[in-house]
Amino acid sequence: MRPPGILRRKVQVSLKYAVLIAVALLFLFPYFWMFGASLRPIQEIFADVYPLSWKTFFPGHFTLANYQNLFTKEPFSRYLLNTLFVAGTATGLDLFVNSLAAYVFARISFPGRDVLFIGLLATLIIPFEAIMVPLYLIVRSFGWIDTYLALIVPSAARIFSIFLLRQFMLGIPRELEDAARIDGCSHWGIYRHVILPLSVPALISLGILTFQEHWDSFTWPLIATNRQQYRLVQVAIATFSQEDVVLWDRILAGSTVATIFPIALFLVFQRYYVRGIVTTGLKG
Amino acid sequence: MEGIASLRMRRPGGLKWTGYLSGYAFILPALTGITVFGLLPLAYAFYVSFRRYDLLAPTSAFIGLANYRRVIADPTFWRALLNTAYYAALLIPAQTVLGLILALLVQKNSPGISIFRASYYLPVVSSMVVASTLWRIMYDAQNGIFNSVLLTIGLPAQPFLTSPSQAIPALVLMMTWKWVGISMLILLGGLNAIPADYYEAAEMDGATRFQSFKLITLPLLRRVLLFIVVINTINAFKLFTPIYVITRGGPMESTLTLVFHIFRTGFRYYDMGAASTMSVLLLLLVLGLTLAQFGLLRSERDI
Repeated sequence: MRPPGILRRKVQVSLKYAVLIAVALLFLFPYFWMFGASLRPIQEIFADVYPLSWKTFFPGHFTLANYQNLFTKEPFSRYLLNTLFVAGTATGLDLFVNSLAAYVFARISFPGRDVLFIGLLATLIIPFEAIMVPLYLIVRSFGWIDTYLALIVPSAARIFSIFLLRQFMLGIPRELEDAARIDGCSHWGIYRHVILPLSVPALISLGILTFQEHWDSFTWPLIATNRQQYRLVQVAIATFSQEDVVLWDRILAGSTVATIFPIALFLVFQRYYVRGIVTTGLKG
Repeated sequence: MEGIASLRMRRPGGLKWTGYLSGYAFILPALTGITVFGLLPLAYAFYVSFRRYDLLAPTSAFIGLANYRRVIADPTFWRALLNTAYYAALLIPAQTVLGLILALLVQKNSPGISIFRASYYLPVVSSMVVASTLWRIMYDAQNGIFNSVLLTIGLPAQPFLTSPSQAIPALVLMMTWKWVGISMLILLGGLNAIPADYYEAAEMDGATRFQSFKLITLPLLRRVLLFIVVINTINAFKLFTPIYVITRGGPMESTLTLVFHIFRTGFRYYDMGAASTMSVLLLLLVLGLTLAQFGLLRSERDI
């Protein structure tokens, strides 16, 4: 006979896994359904929801017609390229501008530096939603509405990024820079050849967070652009349901395409991603 | 070469001066960006809130506190504020409690646990527009999976987002699913920071698991829990995207939130004066709530 303790432990463990799996299914179900529904013929998208059967979860017929519609009847490839371009350049600009500032706050002291840093940290409280109206008016006065500039430049300088990079740079040993300084390196040289290469893990973490934020951003692109030429993916998906007719085929295919990208990024770089959040605790 | 290097070494004052200069130069791009696109809009919101500013009219004029009087007299503003507060009041406990439950569930390392952590976190990394669209489909009164499940287990179908009384709770459920991963992750960090020997000592003293949760975990987690409350409060007052994508403030203005009201006033009615006034009020509200909660956090530390 087995001792009752072991049996109880086994029951506990399987119960825990049952709960873990059930919760995971609840969390993943919407994406799973979306992917399946995006492969259904358009008239069957909602056909098998009730009564519940295996067909509710797996499409009976497969077709790529929804994706065909998305890319032929809508300029969705243009939206994708716009989004890749904006998210890519904005991320690059963010990393450059803020790593420069982070280097100063971590290493170069000048009068008033710490007061300035604390003052900048305080601006983290300002929610974007509270300044979106005046920001629109300012960007409009620059003549930037319906340009890529409006989508890329305003978000580039961020105290969030400066803070994250500074925390990382503070942990880099000073000896490495001292050696470079004795060799006659300027601040730029130290930044470029010592600090930046050593900050690569933090830059990857921040880069992923920033890219994903731009990929998902909706409110500002909605405000700052009107013309289709500059439309980004998220705004496009929202406009598929704006008219009296809801274009479910395009919504489901577009949502699937728009989701695969950041999720793949997240799964590949999970370690960096989590580290970024844990260092700052500020996302969202 | 050597001569120049030693010359520089002998003049620390000069080095310091160039140090300052490049310090300022390195910081300039970031400082300019934050000033022009962060602080200037902030100041401009106050400025415009004292003016009549119609986006379609060519001129604007100083009108004192008229915008503030108009906004405060507007029942729609109060409706939006009340809706947002109601949403926050439901969202904050939901996020905190569920975040804690999930964190406890995935805390101990066991085979495959990272897969579960990743699954619970997945909605956080997908977009708000996509999430809103999917939940709109799931909540659909005729074709939604929720009603399909209700009918299958013999319960009556519900209107969900098309009912003024159910719309906000339905949104809370959706937003909890979307963002609880962040609460979970932060609480996981808090749980892992509690030394394991506390629990071992409690077990030796014969404490049950519930007792050690109540007497060790919760008290030591207080600050992290309060932090979760702070970030969820701020986020609750920013609610916009699902409202724009799904409900447009309806039915019967039951999901009209503060930010959606600001958006509509500014970008649909072109009334930038009133929109700026409400932006200022939103800012003061978020600022006040954050400071109050941080004040709580500080007094917690003293205890």
